[in-house]
Amino acid sequence: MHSIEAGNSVNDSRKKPPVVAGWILNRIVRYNEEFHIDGDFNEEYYQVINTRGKFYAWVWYWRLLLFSLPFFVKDAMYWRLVMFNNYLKTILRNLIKHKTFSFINAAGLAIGITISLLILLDVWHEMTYDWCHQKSQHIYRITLKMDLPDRHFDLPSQPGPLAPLLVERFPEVVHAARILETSDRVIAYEDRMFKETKIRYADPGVMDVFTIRVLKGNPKTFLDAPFSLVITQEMAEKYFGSENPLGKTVRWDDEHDFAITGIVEKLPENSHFKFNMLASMSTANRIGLPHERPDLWRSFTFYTYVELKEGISIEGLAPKYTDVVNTYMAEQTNQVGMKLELSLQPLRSIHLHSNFIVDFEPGGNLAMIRIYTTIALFILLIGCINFMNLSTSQSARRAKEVGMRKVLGAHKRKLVVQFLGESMILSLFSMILAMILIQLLLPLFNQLIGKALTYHPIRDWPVSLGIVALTGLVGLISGIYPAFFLSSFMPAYILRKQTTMGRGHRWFRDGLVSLQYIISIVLICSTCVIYTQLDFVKNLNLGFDKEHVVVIPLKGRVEQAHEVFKKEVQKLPGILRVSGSHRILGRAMSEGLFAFEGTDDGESRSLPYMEIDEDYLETTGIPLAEGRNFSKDYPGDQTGSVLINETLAKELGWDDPVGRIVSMADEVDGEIVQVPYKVIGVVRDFHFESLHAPLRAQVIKMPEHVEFLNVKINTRQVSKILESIRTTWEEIEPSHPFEYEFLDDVFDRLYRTELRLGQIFIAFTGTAITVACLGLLGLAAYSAQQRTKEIGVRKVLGASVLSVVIMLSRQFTKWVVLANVVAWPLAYYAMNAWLRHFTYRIDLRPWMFLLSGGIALLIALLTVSFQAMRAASTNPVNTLRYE
Amino acid sequence: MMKELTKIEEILLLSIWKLEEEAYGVKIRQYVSRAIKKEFTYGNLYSALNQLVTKKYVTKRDGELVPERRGRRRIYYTVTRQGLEALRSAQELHENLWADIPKYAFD
Repeated sequence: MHSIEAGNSVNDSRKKPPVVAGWILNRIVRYNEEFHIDGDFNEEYYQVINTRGKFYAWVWYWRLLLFSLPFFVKDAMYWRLVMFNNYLKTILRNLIKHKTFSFINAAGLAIGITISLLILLDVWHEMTYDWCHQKSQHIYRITLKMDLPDRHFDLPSQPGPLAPLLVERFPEVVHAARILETSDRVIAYEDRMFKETKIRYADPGVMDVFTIRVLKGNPKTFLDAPFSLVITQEMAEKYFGSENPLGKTVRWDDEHDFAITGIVEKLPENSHFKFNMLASMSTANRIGLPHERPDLWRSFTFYTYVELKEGISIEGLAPKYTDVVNTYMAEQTNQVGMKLELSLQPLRSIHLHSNFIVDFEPGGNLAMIRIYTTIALFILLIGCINFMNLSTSQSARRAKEVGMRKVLGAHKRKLVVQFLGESMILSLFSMILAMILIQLLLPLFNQLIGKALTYHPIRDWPVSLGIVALTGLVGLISGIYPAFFLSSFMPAYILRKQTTMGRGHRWFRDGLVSLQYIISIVLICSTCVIYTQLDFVKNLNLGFDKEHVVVIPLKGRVEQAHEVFKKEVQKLPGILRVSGSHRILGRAMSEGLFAFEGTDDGESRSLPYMEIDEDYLETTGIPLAEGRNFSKDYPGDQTGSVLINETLAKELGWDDPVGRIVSMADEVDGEIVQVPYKVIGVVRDFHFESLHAPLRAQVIKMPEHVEFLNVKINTRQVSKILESIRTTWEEIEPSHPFEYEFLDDVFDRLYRTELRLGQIFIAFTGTAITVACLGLLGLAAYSAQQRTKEIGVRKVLGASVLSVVIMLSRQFTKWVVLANVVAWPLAYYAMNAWLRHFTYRIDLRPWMFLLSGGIALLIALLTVSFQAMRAASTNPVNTLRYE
Repeated sequence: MMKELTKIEEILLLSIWKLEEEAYGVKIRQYVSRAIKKEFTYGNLYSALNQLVTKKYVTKRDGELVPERRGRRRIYYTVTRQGLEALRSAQELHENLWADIPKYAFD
């Protein structure tokens, strides 16, 4: 018979059927367990090999397989679909049958996903700063390290003439552009007059380096001529409405006329430099102050950007550029012993990785992003834990299904896939819920973080991709434990005995509940500490009275005739005191080089100094410790007298400072000279800066330019007083709008980051607690349900409702109490690290921890006892009659 | 009413009936291929065969282990009583229909 011949060939390894084809066949056919098809293939293959030879047989095998495949695949798909349908049906039935649990699960996950998404949006916004510029990866900003004998500066800006030289000398520099910041200006067109912020002088090169969409005008030339102004679409609408702005003339600070030469689109929110108007750089040459002249090597005020050739390594470039600056500025650097070093800063890292004191806008806060992300992940984790707990606690319900499936031949692997699928579907559902929530919550969230984030599912596809990935991850994390746990049931055991499986896994569940509460307690604790510290800072005695002081920036004629304006304002009713100053208290301080009598010659210190007139101390209630205040009676005070603060006197070791000489370095006609001042008094220390830093020594002199008027007003009728000041202003200077702010607002703003952090913590803590409670509610409900009969028996035997509630609650409160023990050290560590940023800080006190633990416990108790009450107050007749 | 057999089903049933004790995958496929004078693949074979099993026109039984089948048993098929009835009604239908067609119709 042929089987004997075939037997020979079976043992001949050279005559084996094709391996790959055989593998394919097995992969597909195995599904319906028709292994005999593989046998048929092989049997016939050996027949063919014996009659027609190896090669023919090989071709025959492949041909037959390929022609058979469509049928096999169709068949396999059919069965897969049948099973999938079955799984889907069971899942949906389960979800619908246990509505409360499904809702708790979905809601917890949805809240977790929503919060994470909002954070993801924010993080994405921060990470993609300046990505809007097409060549952003080849654009660098040139930054500067400046070393003076006694101090060090980091600057993001350069001398004006550097940029053109770089393009001229170095072939790798394709384009270069300078941008110069200028103060706010009043722009007027016909009867429309507004004060405009974010006006910059810019080189024509900005259009080459940056990607700015031009709507009107010729980008090649519109920034060439002096007095050209390129404005954004928004500005164009504001001033010109439907008119064509091109060629129109606007008045700038009531001094110069500018021609509108171009309209461009606004740069997106996440670019480090934004502008409302760009004035041509050639204008700065005509009307700029000395430090704004782009043709002079004297001040470091020009933001300089270079676009490098693609593929150029930036290594070794910066020293070459440094040489250029050093050659041209040799005279100045030698004179003051200044060392300069340039470096290149990639455009995309400007926002998150630089922190210059002076910049277009404050950089992003990486630490803050990390904190947000961590908290968002924690909330997500709490949601996942809910899912794990509720799924495993319901195991008794699912046990029979699992047993049945196993008896009918389901593998463990199939069951794992089924349960994972279940959690995936639930998280998908939560994702849809989250998408709706995001739309509702985004404005609120924007308010909270102080940004204007938007989300468009298609345009922001990386975020959408993140959402999908996150949903998958959540489904996987929350499903993996229940899946393995539930699928590991032994069918014989389950189907024979009706046991509530999962008692052995109780510790795991309770551990997870504790974890949720650890997270919640740490969050409550942090919120508590942040608010206590903020309160402390706000109410700390700053050494002066910041309440009811209005600060008015002086402009135009009011600035020139500030004495007149001051006198006029003083006459108004409700005004207690008026004084002039050069700057606002609480904002950046002027710094100067000072030398002191009695100290070694030439050794000078850099100190902050204030410029105020004789009424200032009265206006802000700063007391004198010694000597006298500036006075009109001593004309020499204007140029020859200073006050110092107590810290300075102490640091210098002066017991009788009055009468001593302090000299300040000043530049007169390009020469550095020492100007002597006599100390006429000492003021008590007051906090002129934020409380993050310790109080510094400072010098106070009279102002050369008065730029602000500080008005102490009566507490009553504030708006009426302000209105009368406005009237006085408008009589003197009608072409500048009247503006003011309150001094206490200025100081409150120093803690804006902290205040925002506090608000975000409250929001996050609330969410975390809510989600954790949802889970606890579900567990308590389940636990009460399981012990229905026990409760009935207890009540019949005389237990009171209270004792039953206590019995049911005890089991959970134990874990919450335990969570406190773990949470406190964590919170202590984290908050101590945060408080280190403040020089003036609160100490961490036990009550903060006890309070947050108490709050968590109270909320947990309320949640659990709500369920317990329901279970305990049912009539035992109803529960026991059953069966 | 009984559903009409498809052509493939009819061919398969007849082949299995004819092959009697030899009716397993390889033989059926080869027999059918010879009969229809073109390659009848295993895909064609088993998708139709499974249908016949579901309709209870044929039954399966495990066969012997042969070395060249790599441990996979042969599965033998036998036509059931219902299968035979279905074949008979198919034949009747054919005869009834052909009876009205004159012999010389193809000439």
